[in-house]
Amino acid sequence: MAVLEPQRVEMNIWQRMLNIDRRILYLLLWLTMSAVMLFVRGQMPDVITSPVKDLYQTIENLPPDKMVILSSNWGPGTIGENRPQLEAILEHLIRRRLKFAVVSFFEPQLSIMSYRYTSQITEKHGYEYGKDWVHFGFVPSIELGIKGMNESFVEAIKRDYKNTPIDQIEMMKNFRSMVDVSLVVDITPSGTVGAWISFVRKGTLVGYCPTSVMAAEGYTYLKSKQLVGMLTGAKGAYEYELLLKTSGYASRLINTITASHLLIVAAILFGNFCLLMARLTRKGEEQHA
Amino acid sequence: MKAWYYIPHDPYLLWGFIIGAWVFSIAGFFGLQLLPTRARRPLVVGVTFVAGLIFALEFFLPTGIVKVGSIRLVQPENKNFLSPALEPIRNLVQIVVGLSLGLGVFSLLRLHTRNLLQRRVGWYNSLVLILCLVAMAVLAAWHQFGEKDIVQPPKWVENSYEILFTYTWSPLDATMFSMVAFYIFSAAYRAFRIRSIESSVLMFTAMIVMVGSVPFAYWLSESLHVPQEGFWQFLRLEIAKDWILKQLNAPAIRAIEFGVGIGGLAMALRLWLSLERGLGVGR
Repeated sequence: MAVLEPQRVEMNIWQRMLNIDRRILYLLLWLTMSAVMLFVRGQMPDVITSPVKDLYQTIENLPPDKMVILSSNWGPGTIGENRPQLEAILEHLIRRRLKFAVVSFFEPQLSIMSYRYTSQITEKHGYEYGKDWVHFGFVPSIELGIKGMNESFVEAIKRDYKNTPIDQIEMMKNFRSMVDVSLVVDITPSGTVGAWISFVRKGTLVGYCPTSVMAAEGYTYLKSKQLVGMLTGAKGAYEYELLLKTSGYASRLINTITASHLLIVAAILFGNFCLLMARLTRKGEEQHA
Repeated sequence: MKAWYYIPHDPYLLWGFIIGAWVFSIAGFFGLQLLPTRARRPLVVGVTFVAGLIFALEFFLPTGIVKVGSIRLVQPENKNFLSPALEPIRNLVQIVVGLSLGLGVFSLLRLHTRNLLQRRVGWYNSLVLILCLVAMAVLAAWHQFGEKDIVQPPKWVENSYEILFTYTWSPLDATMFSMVAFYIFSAAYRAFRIRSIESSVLMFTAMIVMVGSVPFAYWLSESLHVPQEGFWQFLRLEIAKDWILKQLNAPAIRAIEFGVGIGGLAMALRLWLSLERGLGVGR
C-alpha cells in the first residue's frame, strides 16, 4: 500500500505572515495591553462628544426636589464598560446632592453587583442608605416594572433590596411614583432602553449608558430627542470624568482601550500589506517561470 | 383606582386562598393532561387570547375622562378600567419567573444525577456541576437572608460566599467576555481584507470609527493642526466618526428597527391568535 507523502508547499515570508499562528496574535495583544496598563501613565487630551455633554448638562439642571432612577442591568461580563459609567454618573449625582434609587431587571445577580458598587461609592461620599439613596432590588419584568412604577413605587416594588417595605423608607416618603422622578439613566449592555422610552410616563427624561457595541442603536433615539444624552462605553465614561474634572475608573482604562484599538487597526493594515506583497511576489515568480 | 378583584385581608382567609389556588392549579394542570388534544386546544387558545387582549386594551384604551356620545366615563388620569389588572399580572410574572427557575434547576439536576448514577462518559463533570450548584444556592440564599436581616449567617458562610461569588464567578464571567477581544484581534488580522470595492469601503469606515473613538484621534488632529470648522474639519477623525455614526449609521439602524418592529408585531399577532405552531396545544 502506497503511503502518501504530505505535500510540502513552499511559502514565502508574506504567505507565512498571512498564515501566522493565532496564538502569536493573542500573545501580542496581551503583551501590549499589559505593558500599557503597567507602564503608561497620564492620559491624552480628548474632545467631549455632544451626547456626553448633553447628559452632563441635563443632570446639572435637574431640580433638587425630585429623584433620579439608575437602571443598572450589567454583570461581570461588561464590568469594564458599565462600571465606569455607573461610577461617573453616581459621582455627579452625589456632587449635586440629588437623591436616587437603583433598580436591576432580568437576573437577580445583577442587583447584587449594582448594590455593591453603589454602596462603595456612596459610603466613600457619606451618602446614607434610606435617606439619600435606596436600592429597589431585582424586578423580573422591565415593562411591567416600569408601568407599575409610573403609578406607585409602594405597589410596584413593595420591598427594597434589604427587604424593608418601601413605605417605611425615609427617603421614599417624598417620592411616590415616577411623577417624582426627573431622570432615568439606563446603564446596560442589552436593549433595555427601548422599554424605558416606550413605557415611562411622559415628562420623565431618559439617559443611556450602553456598551460600545450597543451605542449605534442609541443614535436614533438621540436624534429624535427621546434620549437626553448617552455615554458610549468606557470612552463615554472617560469623557464624563473629564467634565467632572476627576480621575476615576475610566481614566485608568482609557490608555489600554486606545492601545487595543490602534493595535487592531495596525493588524488590519499589516494583514492587507502582507496580502498585497504575497500577490506581487507570486505574480513576479509566475512571470519569472 | 379601586381594584375590581377581591383581596382577602384576614390572614387565615389569605392562606385559604393561597392553598385553594395551589389545589386548583394542580388539579387544572393534571385535568388538562387528561383532556384530548382537540378539547385542550380551544381552552389554551382562549386563555392566550384573553391574556393578550387585557394587555392590548389596557395600552390602547383612553385614560382619564372619556366621552362617548352621551356616556361620560370618569377614570383617574393615566388609568383606564383595565389598569388595576396590571398589579396581579406583575405578581403573577414574579411567581412564574420563580417557578421557571425552579423548573430549570430541577431539569438540570435530573439530567446530571442520571449521568452520575449511571457513570456515563464525563460523569465527574456532572458531579462538579451538582456540587457547585448546591454550594452556590445554599450559600447565596444564606447570605441574602443575612443581607435582608432575616438571619445572622456565621462568618464562614460570608467568607465562602465571597470566595464563590466575588472571587470565582465574577472573574470567570468577566474572562469569558474579555476573550472576545482576542478573537476580534485575530479576526481583524485574517478577515478584514481588501478583496472588492464594498469590502474596502467597509474596512476604511470601520478604521475611521475605531480610531475616531479613542483620544488618539483628537491628539492626531491637534498635532497636524487640522481645522475644527469649515469643510476641512471632516479630516479630523473624531468628527468624521461622529458624522458616520449620526448620518450614515443612524438611518440604517432606524430602517432595521422598523423592519424588526413590523416583524415583531406580526409574530406577536400570530402568537396571540395561536396561529404559531408548537405552543403546547397539539399539532
